[in-house]
Amino acid sequence: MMNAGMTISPADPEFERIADTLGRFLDDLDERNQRIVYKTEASFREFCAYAVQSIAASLGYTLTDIAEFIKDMGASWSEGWRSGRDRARRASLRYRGGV
Amino acid sequence: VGLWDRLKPDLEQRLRETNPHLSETQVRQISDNLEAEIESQPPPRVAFIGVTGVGKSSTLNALFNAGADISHSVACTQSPVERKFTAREYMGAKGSIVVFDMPGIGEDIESDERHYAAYEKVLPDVDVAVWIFPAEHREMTPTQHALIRISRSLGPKITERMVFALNKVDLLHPGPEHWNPHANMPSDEQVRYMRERSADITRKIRQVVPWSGEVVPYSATRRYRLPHLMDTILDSAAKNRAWLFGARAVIADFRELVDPRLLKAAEQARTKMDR
Repeated sequence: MMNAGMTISPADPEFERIADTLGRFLDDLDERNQRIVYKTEASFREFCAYAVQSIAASLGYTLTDIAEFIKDMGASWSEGWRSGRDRARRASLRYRGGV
Repeated sequence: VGLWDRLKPDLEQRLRETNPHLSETQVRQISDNLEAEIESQPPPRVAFIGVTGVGKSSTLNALFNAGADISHSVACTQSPVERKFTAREYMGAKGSIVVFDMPGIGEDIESDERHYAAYEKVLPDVDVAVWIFPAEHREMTPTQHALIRISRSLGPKITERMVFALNKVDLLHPGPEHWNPHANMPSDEQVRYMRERSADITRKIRQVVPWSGEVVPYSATRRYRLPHLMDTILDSAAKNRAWLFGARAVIADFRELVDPRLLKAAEQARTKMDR
């Protein structure tokens, strides 16, 4: 690893190795950011599902399929996780293409 | 609110599909009430526990304000017990967060007793408590005593909402001069030491309380592994409250502190790996 005070350029013998290490770290970083997005959404959907149940009851409406509603949200969450990963991956590829 | 704007059409559609007996007016009424319910949710409450200088403020700034100082805050309405420490509502880039600034322990027995009492009062009332350890010190005995006390008085489940983190990993052994400023990453030796320190802290916590998590090493000022910290915070919050943190997260961008040439090469290396 290079240390403070040193400069770095592509001609440096360490450059490629450091770039590879950084690249692996960026993979990890992006994965974490995706997880934050989808955990946030999953939590929000769960909150909404139970809030809807409570609101409907207070308004005097019967939600016969609230269990299904919540279950569907769970399915949406896992689908969202997968499709979100794909979206992020595509976006990442586009970004790289523009570098 | 951004979440609601994005997900509202989907949620309404699901409500219609799963409850076809509802009229459109009724669906709208439920939706309007839900929006009001979302807007009325109290902000997330987080306790930052740690000794002076451990980086509580910089962590707050790095997670909720892209690294910039959150200068505007107001004192929260506090109970008599809460007046013993700082509780303020901060306005981050995407909304407010109630922050309890909790002192670290290990100063002396008398102070520690006061701090234990403060922990016992505050911890049941926060969504998440982030316990921050300084990278430079290895002393864990005071923390172990505190955890034993807290666990006995509040029950062992209290640890489920705790995040244990190791800040300032850029200062770790062999020293800050080993941090790579171009990649904004630790040297191989620092990485090894970071893993050892994290594992050591994890082991010492597990010696005294039932806790299955992992210590999160990070650096707030270097913006290193901040998403890892936020991800762990989301895991530790109650499922129906975690979104309040995620919706307010504006995490300081690690990439901004990386040498652009190196960043470009790293992104190209990732592309090659994908192929």
